Amino acid sequence: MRRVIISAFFLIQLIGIIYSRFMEERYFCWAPFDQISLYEIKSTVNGVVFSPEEIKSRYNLQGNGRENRSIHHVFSIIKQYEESYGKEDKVVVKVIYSTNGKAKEEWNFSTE
Amino acid sequence: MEFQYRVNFSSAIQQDSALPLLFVARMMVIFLLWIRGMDNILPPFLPFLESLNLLRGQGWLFFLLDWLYWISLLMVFVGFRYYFFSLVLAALVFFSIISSKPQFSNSFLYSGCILFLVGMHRPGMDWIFRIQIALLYLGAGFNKLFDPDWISGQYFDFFFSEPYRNSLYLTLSSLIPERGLVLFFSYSSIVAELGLGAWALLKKRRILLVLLINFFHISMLFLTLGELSYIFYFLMAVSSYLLLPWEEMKGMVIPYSQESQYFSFVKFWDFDRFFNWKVFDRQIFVFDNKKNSLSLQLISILFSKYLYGFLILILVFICRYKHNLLALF
Repeated sequence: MRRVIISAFFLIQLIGIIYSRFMEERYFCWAPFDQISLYEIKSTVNGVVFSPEEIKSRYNLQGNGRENRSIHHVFSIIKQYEESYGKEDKVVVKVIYSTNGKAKEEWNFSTE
Repeated sequence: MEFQYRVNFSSAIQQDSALPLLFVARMMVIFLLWIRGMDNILPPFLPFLESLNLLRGQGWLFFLLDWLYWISLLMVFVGFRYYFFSLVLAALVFFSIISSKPQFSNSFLYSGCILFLVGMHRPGMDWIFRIQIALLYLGAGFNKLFDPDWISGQYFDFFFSEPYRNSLYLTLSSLIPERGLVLFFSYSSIVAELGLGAWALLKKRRILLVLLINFFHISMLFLTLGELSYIFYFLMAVSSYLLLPWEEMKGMVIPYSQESQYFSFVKFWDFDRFFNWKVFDRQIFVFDNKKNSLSLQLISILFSKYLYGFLILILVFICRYKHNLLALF
């Protein structure tokens, strides 16, 4: 039974590595420091522009930060928050980011 | 098939193994408390499993989990039923990760995996650590292999230009044409990770493998002036320690001269008397042929877990607090 549990434990990890090939996020696939994304989050909640401290408090993410795995982790966290804990709020979120020093891009999310 | 499960609190099973499992478990405790700074179990926040949100607001549960966490840390550190409490710590680490996306990090996850495997280990199952280390390196290598920015060298060009600005790189890259330097870093990183991962699956040249793993991570620390990544250096230096040929080396005779300050120093650190220390006497100088080919000095220091652990902690301390240390001067 012990060997079965351990084998399943390793199989889960192997599945995670293979599955990540089809995903933009990099959770559970042993991909540390695969990308370096510098980002800035601009969030307006119910018409109020949030400060970096308020953004940190809301999403547990730095308002101006760095993501060392995948920028899609930032998107995923913001989206999940706004669709669950913050679903009563009207928000407009813009993430301005650059991955590996390439041209800046924008990701937008809105519930208005 | 009738299934029986009995919780065995005896530590006698683990004592049959020469692997330094307790050492690794204790170092994971140090990782959680000092490097990770984890002093409590947080309620779910943006969990991977949405159903865990039901536990939010259950303060009593997390009060109990905090107690469980601290008791487990203590039990592992003092070595009481440490393999059981390693499993408990692993479960709490996995729970912390699953219950909060912002908490996720590969280093945190890896610490949980090592604690889990320490808890699950039984004599004859040393292969589990080889597979875990192989999965980490092979996963990291394959992820990079399919990333266009790694193949083109874009990643390292940005890496040394901005977040980990390195003036030596900037000077050299202007001398080496066609992004040769960044391509060298990219491909050597990928080859190193895939190579270390594949090698970990073998039972060949394990001492050299552990030395190369240490070299790989220390070289990264050197190139980034201690920034990247002392966390992973710590985890890999500790976990790869389990790959060494402990069973073969246990009780090995180390002949030494009492005038040798080196061996006197290393012998002092061998608190568990892993080796059989013999004062040098030509008449009793007996050596296994295989061991003849290896440096006695390297073996004696490498297998001295307290000294090895101390050196790891010193290096991590220097990297982590380098700005404070430099300010002293």
